[in-house]
Amino acid sequence: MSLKEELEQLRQRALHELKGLKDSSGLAELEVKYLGRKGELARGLKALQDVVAEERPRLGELANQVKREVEEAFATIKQKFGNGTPAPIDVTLPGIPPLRGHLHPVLAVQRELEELFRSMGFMVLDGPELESEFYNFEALNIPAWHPARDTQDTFYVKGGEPKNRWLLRTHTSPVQVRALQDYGAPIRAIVPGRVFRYEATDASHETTFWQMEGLVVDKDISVSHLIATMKALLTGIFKREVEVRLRPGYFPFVEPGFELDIKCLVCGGTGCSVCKHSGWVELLPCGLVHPKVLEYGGVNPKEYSGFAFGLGLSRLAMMRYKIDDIRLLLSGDLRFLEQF
Amino acid sequence: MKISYNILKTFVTPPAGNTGRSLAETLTMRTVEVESYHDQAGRLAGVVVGLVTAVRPHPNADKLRLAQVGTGKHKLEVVCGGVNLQEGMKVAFANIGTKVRWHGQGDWVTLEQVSIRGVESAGMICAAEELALMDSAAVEHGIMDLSYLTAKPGTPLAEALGLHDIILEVDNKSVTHRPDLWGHLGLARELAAIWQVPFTLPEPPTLAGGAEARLKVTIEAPEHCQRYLGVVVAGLKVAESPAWLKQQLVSLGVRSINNVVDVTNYVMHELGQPLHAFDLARLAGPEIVVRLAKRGEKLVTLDGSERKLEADSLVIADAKHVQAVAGVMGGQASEVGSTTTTIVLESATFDPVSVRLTAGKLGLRTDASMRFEKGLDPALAELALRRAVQLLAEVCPGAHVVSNVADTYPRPLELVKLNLNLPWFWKRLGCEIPRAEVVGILERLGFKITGKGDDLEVKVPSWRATRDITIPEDLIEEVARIYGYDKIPLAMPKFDITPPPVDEAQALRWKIRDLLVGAGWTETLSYSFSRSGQKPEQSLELVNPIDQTRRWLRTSVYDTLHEQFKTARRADEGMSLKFFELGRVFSSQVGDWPSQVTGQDRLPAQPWHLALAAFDQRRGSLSVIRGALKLLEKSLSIKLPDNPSYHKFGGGAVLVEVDLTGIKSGEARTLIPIPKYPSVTRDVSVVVPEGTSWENIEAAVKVSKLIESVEVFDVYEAKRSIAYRLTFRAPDRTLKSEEVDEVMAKITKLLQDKFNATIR
Repeated sequence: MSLKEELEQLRQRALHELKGLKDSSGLAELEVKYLGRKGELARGLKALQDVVAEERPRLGELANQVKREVEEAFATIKQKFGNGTPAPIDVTLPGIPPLRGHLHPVLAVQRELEELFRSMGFMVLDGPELESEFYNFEALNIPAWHPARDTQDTFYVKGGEPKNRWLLRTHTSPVQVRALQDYGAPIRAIVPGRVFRYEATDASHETTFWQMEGLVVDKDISVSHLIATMKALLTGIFKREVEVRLRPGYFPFVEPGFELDIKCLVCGGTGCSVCKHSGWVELLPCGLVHPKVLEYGGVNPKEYSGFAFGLGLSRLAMMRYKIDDIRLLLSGDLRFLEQF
Repeated sequence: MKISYNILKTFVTPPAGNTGRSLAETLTMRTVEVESYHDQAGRLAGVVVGLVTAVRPHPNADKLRLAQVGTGKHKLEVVCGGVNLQEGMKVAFANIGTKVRWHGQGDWVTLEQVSIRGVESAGMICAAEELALMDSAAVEHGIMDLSYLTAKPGTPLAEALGLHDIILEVDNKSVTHRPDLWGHLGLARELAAIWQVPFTLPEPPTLAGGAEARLKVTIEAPEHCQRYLGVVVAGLKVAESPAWLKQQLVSLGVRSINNVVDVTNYVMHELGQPLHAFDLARLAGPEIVVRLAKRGEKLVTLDGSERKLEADSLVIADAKHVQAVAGVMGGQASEVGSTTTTIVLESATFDPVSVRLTAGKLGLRTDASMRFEKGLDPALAELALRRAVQLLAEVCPGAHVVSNVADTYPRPLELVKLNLNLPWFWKRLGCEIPRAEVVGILERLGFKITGKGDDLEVKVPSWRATRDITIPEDLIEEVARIYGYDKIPLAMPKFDITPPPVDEAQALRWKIRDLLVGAGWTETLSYSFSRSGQKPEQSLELVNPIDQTRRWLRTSVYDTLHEQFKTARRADEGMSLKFFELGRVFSSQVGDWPSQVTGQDRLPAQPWHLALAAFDQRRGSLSVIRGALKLLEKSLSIKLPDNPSYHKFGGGAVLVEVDLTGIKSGEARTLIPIPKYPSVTRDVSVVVPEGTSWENIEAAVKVSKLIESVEVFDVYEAKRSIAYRLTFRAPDRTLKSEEVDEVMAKITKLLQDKFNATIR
């Protein structure tokens, strides 16, 4: 049988069998038989390759015509059998989960703050985690006799000079002096980073945590500027109006020094366990930069003044996500990290 | 530190209506942080004086009895187990709803109406400890016998006992800079300034001195002891302290010992000046030597431990022996005991640094050392001595000074005078407090003001002049906190709009985080302390590690991340993991940061590293990491170092770490024109001998300009089989199959010849 005859027969057989169908049962099977990848039509088309070159165009056209006719016949019959009731789709199935990574919660908070401060024109600076006694203490007006210098509070590192020992910075404040030396005044900068305290670890104490230092130095910076800026900043962090209060606090590198409290966001100031029934939550230490710190930074305190503040990034992350154990932050526990 | 409102009131007359909460808030907002307060009367609310009118046995219990108690208006029946219960007795009666503490232990519980062995009890007759009170006449298993009180039944117990104190708990950390606030006197002065009421400085009588004894005081180490006052007090009879003194000390959290010791402790809390009493009979004689300890000298201190003293520790000695560690603790040998009749009473000003170092070395921080560490006012030592003598005579009639008043004051306090320029002050504060108000506040705090117009000459009082107030900036706080920080108007500072410079290295780290997180990696953070690190020869060691096994600073992120990673894997067995950490590592090599303003000293190098740790059985851990690194390089146009460090873990996990030092984001990319002609791809699968690196193959197969890319799409490590796809394209025409075949043939030959590869 020539290919032409075969194709003709194929057409008739297919159309005949289709006519014989009473309902949609068997239709799929038939479709595979004729139109499937290894179906009869495919075989017929493949056979074209073996035909002599001069016959190929003509037979090719025939083959395509047969294919079209059969396909159309299938389409018609599908409509007849009411292919209009498609299989129901379960739209509540979850879909394929895309790859999802996780930013560490402390870094997530850090980023948000960096963006906030950058929008207010602050530089974001970095400083060494292994510091010298000079930058960590002396330049911040923390004298040799100050208890903070004890090995009870500070990790010291072997090496260095006897009079200027190496240590792991206990706060991000040393970068205040480094920034003033590098950039001079006026300056607006924040310094996020890892800090260390010699401290036994428990649910609320860690040897390692994250802070963010802030520094503004310009002409005639005042306490009034400090409070207003802090209020703007806190509104930015908590995304709502926050009430703040300032009270005396002692930090050798600021004068005057303050503790800034915010009205408890949980109870609104009426008193609850979060604010220890005082209505206020201690949030950040701040103050006007001590003239000695400006001097160490090479800035004339008669010409410039400034304010500085410290934010606990670990603490803010814990507040935001209601993390009740600080040790989780450095645990590497996936059940923790994958929640962010 | 506990502060008693009653003691404060001996120095100031407060305005009416103060509560624990208002006192705590006033002090917290203006002076020091008050952590909590305790209102004694408030706690005794519901407890009244009751009169026992009848006692009869309990029908169902031998050790219990039933008492009729009259509380003025009511007559109630209660069950009571007190062995000393009697008809006609006045008792402490707790009504239903009152808070009591069972047997003086555990939490406070609210009293409820209950049936005890079948009999309803309408309240409770209390023992002292059940109300946290002192009772010197207490009997075992007894109740408080208040028959001595004149108060009528029904009178609130707090009123009947005169318990109306409010105890404030001050946060010690908030007063580290204020030597004057370590006693009630100083806080009373603050309150007087805040409330604008008069402040009464106590004026105990001047010490006349006596001729019966001659007290000799020698200060051999004047740099450690600024002032030393002493007197000999005789005619003492050591006994229990009177009730008021005991009660007052208990409320301050101080254990009562005996009348003499209690007086010294009371004066310390009242005025802030630690005192010490030596039993003269147990000293070598009426001679005090203030000197440094001798090498090998030892002392058994009052707590019973034998202390080895270091040569730079200041001690108080008699002619022969050490008798006390100066400013820290006395010695047992000269302790005041029941037989003591004559004492040497010490009131001194020791050097703050010296006391702190000594206390630190001995591991012995006492109420005394904490105060001396702050730098006490030498004038206070004199006042406290007079006050102690006055009180000793009060609690111990007959006690009197029999010696000269020894007062050695080798280093008089230097006066501090400051100039406060008002316009400057206003500018720093952002608020123009009128001159009169500034002067008023400073004067109420004890400063003396002279000078006219805008320039105030301010003389700092002795109790603030030891180290606390030294520069005009210190005065801003003094005025502003009393004035009220809440009254300062808010103003945003004005800045120019120059955009801030950007630290490229930090920006790069954020981009890395974003890309990795976007590609499904989880960021983690690990400690900086490690066991012996990757590069022991470059490791820096902590002087005082908390965990002895982790005494090194990490030289690589691997040092600390690998443990965390192993734990994470164990918790999540079999799952694929993708972890990364960006962090500083430390090396003994010299870095860039200066360690001093002047000079060439540099801190150790502490570069930022990026570590990726992965476990992926299906795709291969290393492939996953290499893929991520390629992603970073391509997306950020950076070139990561060629020599990252690789670590393989058992089970197939891998960690790769790169040093980010000096890596900069590349030039902004420019568009590569969209190709006009189609490409041709060919897949090749080769099996190469072990040891052949893909890097070499990749370089070698690029034999033609027509090759646009070479990309691996499958690797079968066991057989070292690599499948890759070659993409060919010409910029100016559609490639013909033959052209590509020609190149492919060349590549095949090259692979066979050069790499001994089998093409599959």
